[in-house]
Amino acid sequence: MPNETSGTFWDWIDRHVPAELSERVDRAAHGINAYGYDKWGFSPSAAKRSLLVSEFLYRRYFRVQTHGIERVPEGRGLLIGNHSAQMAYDGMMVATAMLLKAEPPRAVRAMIEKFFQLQPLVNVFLARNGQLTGLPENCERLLRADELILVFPEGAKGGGKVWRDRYKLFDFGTGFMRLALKTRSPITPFAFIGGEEACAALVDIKPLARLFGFPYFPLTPTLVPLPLPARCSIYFGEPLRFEGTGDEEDAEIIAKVNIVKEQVAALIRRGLSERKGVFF
Amino acid sequence: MRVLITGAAGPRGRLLASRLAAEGHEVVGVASEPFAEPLTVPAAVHPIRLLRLDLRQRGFEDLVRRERFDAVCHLAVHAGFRMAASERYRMNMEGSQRVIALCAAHGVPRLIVASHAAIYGSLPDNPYFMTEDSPPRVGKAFPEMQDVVTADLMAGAAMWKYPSLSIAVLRSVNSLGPTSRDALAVLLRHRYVPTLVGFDPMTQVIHESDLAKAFSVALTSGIRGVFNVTGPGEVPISVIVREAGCIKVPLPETLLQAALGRFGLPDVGEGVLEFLKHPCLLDGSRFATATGFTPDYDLEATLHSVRKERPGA
Repeated sequence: MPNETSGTFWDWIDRHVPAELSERVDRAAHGINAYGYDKWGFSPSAAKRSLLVSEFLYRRYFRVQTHGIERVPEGRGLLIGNHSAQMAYDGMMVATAMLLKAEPPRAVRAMIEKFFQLQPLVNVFLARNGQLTGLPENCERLLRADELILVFPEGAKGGGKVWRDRYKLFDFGTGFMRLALKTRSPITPFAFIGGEEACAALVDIKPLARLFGFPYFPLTPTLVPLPLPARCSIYFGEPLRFEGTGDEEDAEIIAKVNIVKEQVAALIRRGLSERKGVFF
Repeated sequence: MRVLITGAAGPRGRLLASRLAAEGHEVVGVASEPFAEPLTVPAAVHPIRLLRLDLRQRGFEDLVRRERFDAVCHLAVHAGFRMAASERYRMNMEGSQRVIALCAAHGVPRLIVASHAAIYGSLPDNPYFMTEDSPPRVGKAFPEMQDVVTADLMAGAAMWKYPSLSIAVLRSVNSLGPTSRDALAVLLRHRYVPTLVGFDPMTQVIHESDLAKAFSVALTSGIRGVFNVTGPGEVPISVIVREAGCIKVPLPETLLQAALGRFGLPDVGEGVLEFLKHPCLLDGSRFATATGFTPDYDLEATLHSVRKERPGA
């Protein structure tokens, strides 16, 4: 079935996707219709093209190392970690790790800001790569369909971390915990190390952010959204399973969220202590 | 079953009338617009009777009182833009109110009301696959559709007001087919179809024959309540345009806003463009579970039902 972007340029790119990458995306994809999309708008051929770029970043640029990826359980689940880096390179690298290193490969769904759904091109790019607006209804439906969801519970605030806040954890939202309880999904904590150096934000220029309607407006060393080639690593912890209905009072939920937050903090401490150099 | 169909001159009404007649029901169709041609179904036990009647005229009440219908299918609810807004408003609000009241007053036991998926609206924070419990938010960006929402909610409220009247409201996704006049089907009649640069929302469609089947199934199954009716699946709107044999014309939003009302595009509020930007996807599982409904036409057959041959293709 020809793709919507069938044309010589895209065909040319498609021919350059290595068989290994193509095969891993095909193994991770499911529920694809006759036109090459799943019902959420995910397109394996778009994902393969993205993987061409993200594989380069993963293997050559950030030289990402994963620890304990086999701990991510099969079936439905939530990946909960620290936002480390402006520009969502952290989420991209976690998703790439799950495609390249997990066995079997998994297509991760990240819960993204509504802001991106409003942006031309960006919204289509994200949807074709399986990323959806972070609404509780979407998340619950995906979990019930046994998907793996990536959540940065620090939210947009965590994505806008500046240099002095590096590897500090901001307050976690509680929505992910309620959904995990409601759908009986295991939570795998992880730490992302290296992003704070790759995309260091010196300051967040709030008036400019307000002017353009962005969640934040970082001033980075490269001045453009290009990251520095810091070596990155991802540490996955043991999956956590909590008992409950998801309908508990906030105090009870916050106590459970704090257990997850402590696990993420411990993984960050381990990652930072095992790191030998920022760039090498 | 003796069934009355309102809006019977429209393509939905004609398809449903033929289907019900072929299934052995006795069908009376009314419409305020003239009937293009008579409806004859070879297999029908009873010939279909078509009457040109305005729902607000006395003659319509006489018909309902006299004929003792077993069911009414109210299809004279318009979500398209063929008629002036004020006329559509009158048909949707006053027409629906009157049909409901007459069914209750004259002991019609069963009423099926046509509604539309568009009432949920196309908003950036829409959840994917909205259930019947999602609020109909179309008015937030596109207030011109509020009369369709009101007609739907009036039918819902009548379930409490008239407990002896068994009501089902069917909110269906855009239907495609050789005769469909749904907004998307009308758009695909043109060779060049405008889209918005940088947007390509997932869109659901159902074949027009499957929609008639859904109404028939709803009628005979006796289900009560509000139901989403969905078809064989969802694809990006660009795929629908391509498979229909149309040529996509991606325009920036400001240009397309200015083009509304010209070049054969409907003269409606710019809120209509939201449907080219964000998904408005429904969860049809409540209806499928309650009735066992499955579409006969798969995704490919549904999309190709509006296909035209491109020169040189």
